[in-house]
Amino acid sequence: MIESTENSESPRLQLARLRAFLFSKARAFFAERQILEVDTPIVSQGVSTDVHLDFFSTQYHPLGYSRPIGLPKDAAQTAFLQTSPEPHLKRLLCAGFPDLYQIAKCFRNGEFGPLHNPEFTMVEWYRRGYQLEEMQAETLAFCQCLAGEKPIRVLTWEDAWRKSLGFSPFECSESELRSHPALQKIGVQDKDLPTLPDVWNCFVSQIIEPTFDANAYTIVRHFPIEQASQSLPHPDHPQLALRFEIYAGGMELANGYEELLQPEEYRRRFVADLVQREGLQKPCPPLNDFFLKDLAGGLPACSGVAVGFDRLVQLASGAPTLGQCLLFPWGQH
Amino acid sequence: MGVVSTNEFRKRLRIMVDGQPCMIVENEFVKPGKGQAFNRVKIKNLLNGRVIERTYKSGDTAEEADITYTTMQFLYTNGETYTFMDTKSYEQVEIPKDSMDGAERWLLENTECEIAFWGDKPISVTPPIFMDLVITYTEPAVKGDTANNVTKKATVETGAEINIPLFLDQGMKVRVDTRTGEYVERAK
Repeated sequence: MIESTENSESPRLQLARLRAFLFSKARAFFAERQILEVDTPIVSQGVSTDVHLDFFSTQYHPLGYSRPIGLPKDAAQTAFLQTSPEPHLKRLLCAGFPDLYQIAKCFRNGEFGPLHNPEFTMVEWYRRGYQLEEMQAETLAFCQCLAGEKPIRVLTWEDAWRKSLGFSPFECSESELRSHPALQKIGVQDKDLPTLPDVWNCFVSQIIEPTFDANAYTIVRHFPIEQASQSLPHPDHPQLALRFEIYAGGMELANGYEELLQPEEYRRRFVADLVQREGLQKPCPPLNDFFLKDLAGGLPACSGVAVGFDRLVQLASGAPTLGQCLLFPWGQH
Repeated sequence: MGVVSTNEFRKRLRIMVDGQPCMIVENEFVKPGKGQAFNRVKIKNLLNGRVIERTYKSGDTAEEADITYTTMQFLYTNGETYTFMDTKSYEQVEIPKDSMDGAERWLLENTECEIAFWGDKPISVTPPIFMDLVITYTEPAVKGDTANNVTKKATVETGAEINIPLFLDQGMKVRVDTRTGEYVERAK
């Protein structure tokens, strides 16, 4: 933790100094590895279709130029604040860019709590030719660089269940899971978990993650394919995905993948997301045509990761909430 | 009563849970990066005092509980019910001993208590945190006692039994913490 030059400096100024220090550490980390910093739009015509992300949208009003013929004078175009820089970074990779990173402001509507702020900073980077293991190792090194070294625990998603609860979710039926006493204990209603992956997520995030060693980094690998998002299936175990997450205690820090390459599979997953969103009566954005078109040009084999920068600040400073790691937390924004 | 959404949940908000009036004690928004958002809530049942955990889907709603708090003065008891009076409206209410939560141990005539009503049904009685009460009976301390005992039993003017330090005698006034039933200090 950086010492401030004067003890009388306000906590907020001390926070700003810590953030500045960690930003410079992050940049040095990537410079050492010759990973290029890029900056991409915050406002875009496309946005993630993830079922559990709510986006901010806004309106662009053309002032008279570049207006499509036939569009009324005051017609506005909907644009979206990015929930992650992933689509733009992948489009650059498809255009032949080398390994790259972005320190990106991301926006997730409605997410506000001890570990959440609707506007937050993500550090996201991609490594051509890296497989999951290498990406995992580099992500861990990044976390240790910014938030300090701690003991490390590595286990598969399935083993995390065995270790915490004594059984594997792959070895019991959906109804057995839904009637498990651990779910009753936290008082969650069955109707609030419409799909089996929702049941898994509830177990993992509400019951298993809190049991992770508070003073260690825990790395969980090989999520079920239903939770693959934009990652590749495991070549030997198609029911698993090449995805890892890194936690400090029970707090999620990073989410990494060996990236999916086939444009048709991206499209299929996005459409499935939209069908689910519609069923949940959530707003459905249009399919991200620019992204899909660029993917058809070929995404090189690579791995990528997204790390919550503010959470690393929280870890480094020992602050109890994320809001205390921001100069203008939500509510004072 | 209205309906509240999880984004309006806060400490001390009173909501219905499983048909029982409850008060929110803790409320936390939790969300894994790639999963559903929940509100983890600790809720105190206002009828039986038990604290339970609930996990609400974020955006879910709950019915507000019709709980009001009124300050009322204790008038008298017939042993089975305790009669209180609203000092503003002079309305009286009789509360059965079962609903008193043990508050009856600390009441003197005119003691003001906070009474919680669910609709018009009194469900809990909270006396002042500290009550100064006269010791009406206790054994004098015997020399040699101090080796084995630090406190002795005493009865106070309300009839309640508490533990007091050995040096105190009948007729002295003591301050009692009504939340724990423990002696705090000598009172004037």
